[in-house]
Amino acid sequence: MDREDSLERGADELARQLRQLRPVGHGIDRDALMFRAGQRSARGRLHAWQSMAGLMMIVLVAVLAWLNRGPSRTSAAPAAVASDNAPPAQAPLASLGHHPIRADAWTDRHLPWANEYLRLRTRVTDEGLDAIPTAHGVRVPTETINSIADWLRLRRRTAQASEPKSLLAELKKGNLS
Amino acid sequence: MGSIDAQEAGWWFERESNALVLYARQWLDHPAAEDAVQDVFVSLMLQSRPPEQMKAWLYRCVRNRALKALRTEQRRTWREDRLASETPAWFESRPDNTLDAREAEAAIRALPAEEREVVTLRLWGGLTLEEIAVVLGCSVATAFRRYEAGLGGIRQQLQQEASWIGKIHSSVARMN
Repeated sequence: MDREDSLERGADELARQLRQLRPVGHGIDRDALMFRAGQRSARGRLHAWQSMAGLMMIVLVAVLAWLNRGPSRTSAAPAAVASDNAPPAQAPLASLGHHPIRADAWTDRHLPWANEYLRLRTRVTDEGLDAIPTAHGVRVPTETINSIADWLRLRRRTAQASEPKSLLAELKKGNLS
Repeated sequence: MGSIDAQEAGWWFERESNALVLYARQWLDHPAAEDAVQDVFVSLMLQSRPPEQMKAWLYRCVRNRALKALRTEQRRTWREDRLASETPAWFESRPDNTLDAREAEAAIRALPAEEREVVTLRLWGGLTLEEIAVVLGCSVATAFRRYEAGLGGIRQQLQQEASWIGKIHSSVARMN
């Protein structure tokens, strides 16, 4: 700041004379410049819009692919289960054409889901389409099948049963052996 | 557009564009200097926030752009030759000028680039020493020293020119 003041105070004659010289004019058109700035700004916005649309399209395709894949995976799994003991030839589940999976390849994490599926299947066989759960769900016996061995036995018998009602009666009694 | 409105940008353009073109001509010929200044004003209007030190920002951007243009073209020697011979003058020649515009320009051109830059920023850009330090990325003391040295160099050049002209006049008088 001191230097600034000293420069202002002691501005010599030469500096004053030099300041009087005016730089030559230029040929820049102010309106053209404004137009160019607006054009470039709009181009930037267009890129942003296109990028956003592209990104949303990718997300949409990914979600659709995921949704299409989800149900087929969950419905294929129970149909594909096959036991070493039961011939799958006449069984309705085996006729779906999926590659059989060995029962011992299943782990405990499948068990609750398999139980639920089997209960529902049995109820539908016995009571008809009215047994399909509504949005509020239906009550099904939960104490009957507690192990994968039970499930495999029940599945084999379900596939071979001519009278689903008798099978359900046995199921309710807990007589699965 | 950004947060700088067209009116404000226009005000800065009217006020600084001539000096900015002169500053860019330290490195570029006249059309290229105009291009550099134009690009800087376009960039200014695309800024999301106005620069804190507008004046220093403008000069710094012009400097960066001019140096970049100079490097890109890679024709420095050819360009400097052209600058010296073909391009229009830096200053308007007006009858009320106490200094001859061409002589002053020649004296300024003869300065080392660093001193010439500071003198141009100070005298025609109207920048303070602090602003010059921001533009050049140096200390205020360095800017001050370069300015003083630049003015001294111009004075010396003009005196040499005057003495040379004086000698010519006296020899012509003797011949008469």
